[in-house]
Amino acid sequence: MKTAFRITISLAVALFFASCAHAPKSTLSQSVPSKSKENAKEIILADNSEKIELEEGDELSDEEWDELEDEEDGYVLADPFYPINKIIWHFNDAVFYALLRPVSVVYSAVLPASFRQGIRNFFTNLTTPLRYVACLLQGKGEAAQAELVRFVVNSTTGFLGLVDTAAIWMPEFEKPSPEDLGQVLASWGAGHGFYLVLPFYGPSSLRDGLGFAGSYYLNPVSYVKPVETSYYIKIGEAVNDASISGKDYMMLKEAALDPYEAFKDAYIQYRQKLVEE
Amino acid sequence: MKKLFITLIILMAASLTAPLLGAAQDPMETIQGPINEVLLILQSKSSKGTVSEKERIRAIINDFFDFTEISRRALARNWKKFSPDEKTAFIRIFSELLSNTYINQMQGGFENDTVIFISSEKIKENQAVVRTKIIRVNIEIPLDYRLKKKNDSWAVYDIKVEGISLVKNYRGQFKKILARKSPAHLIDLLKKKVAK
Repeated sequence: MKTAFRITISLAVALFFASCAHAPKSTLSQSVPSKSKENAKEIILADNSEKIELEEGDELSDEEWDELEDEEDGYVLADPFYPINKIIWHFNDAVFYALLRPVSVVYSAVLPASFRQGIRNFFTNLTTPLRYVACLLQGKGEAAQAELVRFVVNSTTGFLGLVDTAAIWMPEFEKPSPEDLGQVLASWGAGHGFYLVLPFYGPSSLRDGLGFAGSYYLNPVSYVKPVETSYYIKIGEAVNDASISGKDYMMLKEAALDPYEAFKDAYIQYRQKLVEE
Repeated sequence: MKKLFITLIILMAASLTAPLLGAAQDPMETIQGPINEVLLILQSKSSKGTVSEKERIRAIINDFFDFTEISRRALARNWKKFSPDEKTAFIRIFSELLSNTYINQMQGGFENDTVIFISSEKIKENQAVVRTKIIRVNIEIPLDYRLKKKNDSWAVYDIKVEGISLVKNYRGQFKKILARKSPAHLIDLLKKKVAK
């Protein structure tokens, strides 16, 4: 156990140094700013006569694109384990389509949507301790309070969390943005470190992975004995989640040209949003 | 639940009576009409899942989305690498991909969604963001539309779902592909994707 602890600490230290060392943006050719002076072109297409106007005078130089992207993005995530990550990603994808999705479809047919949402509410309620601690560690007092109030109200009047009665009866305690240990580390200044695809759990990073490992100890389900039961419960939770959000996964994958890249980018943007909230 | 429902109604009513912002059409107005139209078409049982439904929705989307701008931003500095013909081809095929994805998802089972229009803010002189939320069963999905004003009318150039920007997401993928392949190859990939 001591070794595991030591490893965790050294990883955490590595994180803080890594946070400054995200991959440098690749400056391609040092091209001269080019502003084409051509007039606007109107191109009429033969089949559906859709006019597409190409305003050539609108061209931005490389520097201006850099600025635009900086304005929007500001984050590039290194992927030093790309080969392994990709394999695990495809593995996860295969597990989804071969196992998780079919099971969740049958599951959806048997259980109506409101029941499945109820089960999701139950697990959300159960993991309040994690979010509560994460709020406190970030100094988010109001959010912590809201989590606590909602936990008490939902556990009692909401049948152990199945029904989100707090949202109905105490709307002043608005559901806070879900906090986790990864976001705590982010608020303390840690960068992602590098991209990691976790088996089964999917896109993550060094920082968020550490947060995830820590959250194991704050999840009541982890303490269920015998240990197989806690696994079954977690799998059940995954099936339930897939029955609600499975389509979102498939939609993103369908829309993407390069699913691995799409999910990596979506992950970065999503985590950025959570950290900002 | 009733309280929530009433709140939704009030919000929608309030947003519909939002004052106009000057002579040019208000960003929120610009997209509210078309989006509600799309929802109406989806909710009408008569033309469920037919080709004509898809066509009608596509026509509406083409009106308030600026696909040229979306394509430019998705390619960023790689936009220069495309010849004028390739640019046109790219815009057409990329917009088809986006429309199809959007429509397939709407047709595929999100019919019971309701959309609330929350606010409309101006970021710059000619840029604005309209915040909306999709309500699905008990879940709320924040959806932001970013609009740019060109020639006195507003059009969408990016969508953010749960904080994830569509343009940015594609930009990363296109960047990776164009680092090693030609624009023509990318257009080809898109064509194959749409044909599937």
